[in-house]
Amino acid sequence: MAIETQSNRIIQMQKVCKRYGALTVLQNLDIDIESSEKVALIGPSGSGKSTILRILMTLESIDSGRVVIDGESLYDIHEDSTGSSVSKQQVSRIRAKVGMVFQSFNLFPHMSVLRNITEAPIHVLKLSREEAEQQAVEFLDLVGLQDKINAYPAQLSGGQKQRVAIARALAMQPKIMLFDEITSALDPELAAEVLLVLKNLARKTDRTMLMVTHQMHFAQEFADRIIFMEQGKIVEQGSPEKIFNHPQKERTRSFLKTVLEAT
Amino acid sequence: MHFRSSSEIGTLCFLRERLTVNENIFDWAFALSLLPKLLDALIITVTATVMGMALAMLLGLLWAVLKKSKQPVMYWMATTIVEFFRSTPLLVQVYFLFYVLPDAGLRLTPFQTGVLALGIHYSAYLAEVYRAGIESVPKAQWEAAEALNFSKGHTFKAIILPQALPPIIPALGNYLIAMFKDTPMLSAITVLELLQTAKIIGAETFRYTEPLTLVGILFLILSLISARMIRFMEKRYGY
Ligand SMILES: Nc1ncnc2c1ncn2[C@@H]1O[C@H](COP(=O)(O)OP(=O)(O)O)[C@@H](O)[C@H]1O
Ligand SMILES: [Mg+2]
Repeated sequence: MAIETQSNRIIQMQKVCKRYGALTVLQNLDIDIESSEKVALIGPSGSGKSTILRILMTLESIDSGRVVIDGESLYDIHEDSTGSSVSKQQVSRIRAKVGMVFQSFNLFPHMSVLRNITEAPIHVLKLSREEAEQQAVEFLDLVGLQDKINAYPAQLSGGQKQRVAIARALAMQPKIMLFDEITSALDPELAAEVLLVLKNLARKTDRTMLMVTHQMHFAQEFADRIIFMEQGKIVEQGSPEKIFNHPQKERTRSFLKTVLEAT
Repeated sequence: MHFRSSSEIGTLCFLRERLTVNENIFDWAFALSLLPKLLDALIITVTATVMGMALAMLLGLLWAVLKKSKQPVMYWMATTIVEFFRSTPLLVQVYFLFYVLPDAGLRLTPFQTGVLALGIHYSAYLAEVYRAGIESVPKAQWEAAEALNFSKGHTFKAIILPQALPPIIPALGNYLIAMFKDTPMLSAITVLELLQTAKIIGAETFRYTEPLTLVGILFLILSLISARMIRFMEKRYGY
């Protein structure tokens, strides 16, 4: 069902609550993201950053609140748990607009690099094998791994695996890309090569990008907007310049201090 | 001292004859002459095992998938079936199918009935094996597939199953050999597998040593070959 939006907001989360049993992970969270905006989500571990991405990727449901992705309602659940739920086809249609890259790569270990990238375009988007392979070569080019096309994930370094994972997500042509701490499992040099790929990507495409990261320098360069959150709530948000150079909240200042000292 | 009666002498002569025969306890020429018949029976035994295993692998996968179903009826049905076939003896199942299926209007040959019994019985064990294999695949693989918008069916077929199978090859192989060794149960319903054939030869010739020894040797050789093949597959399909 299409919903009228006054601006070009591609992601709208309103009063989103998410609980795991007695643990409240997100509390009345509001996030709006504009089309083609690059947003970095920062905050201490356990503050609910991954949960936000997993909700947008439709890997996780919510307890109450409203989520609209590219004009399509994903959830609209009142606090008394009544409200609309979407059909399987709608979920699939919304899912097609979103791609995600995970911290632990999650490549398919029994498939070559090429097949990792072409499997979904062939079986989900119904591209022909030739089209899918041609497109895969282009994306591998973009992440600098054409020579690994026939390798298996076990033969790649962590940084290479993550670049393949990026190419795999790109091959589905999602409007929104989600990145969850994609360099956290990597050594600094390998992380740098992945971040370089990401920076080029951000410059080249008008895709909307939402990334969770602990690399503050990267967030500063990459993002149009930084959202700092803690315990399921947004503490402060704004341009990188505002958050990193002129944070308003004491909590933001102390968080940045500990993170920057650690790196 | 008593003179032995003629009947006693006769018995002694007979015993001496038996003893001379027993000196030559294994008659190689006789054994060799049995081989063609026993090899025919071996083909039946192997065919029953291969077909039984194929059926068990299909049904076992079905039970494993149904047991993962969110629908309570499916789950309950699969669980009951698996429990039932695992907790009753194979021989009882063999007899049951043999005598009850015709009453239910299903006419199968003894061989077909035997394959069915082996397949059903072992499917209950294989369901567990599949479950373990499927659970060994990280949850993140399901999520990566979900994020790429794969259907549940394609995820299972193309992503999960290919990763779940290699680690369970040894377990599947053990059950294959176990099933092979259980095929003599089919002699109970007149299937002319290896043991039944050996027994018939024994009854006809009054010699059991050669046929039964050959049966043992044939089972041994085939079990060893199977074990070798399983180890090869393990190496081939691991990644
Ligand atoms: N499947 C789950 N079951 C129970 N608790 C969970 C689950 N997933 C996450 N949590 C909890 O939710 C909180 C937020 O997790 P997460 O969104 O991963 O935080 P972050 O990514 O900011 O570190 C944490 O306390 C975590 O332990
Ligand atoms: Mg996280």
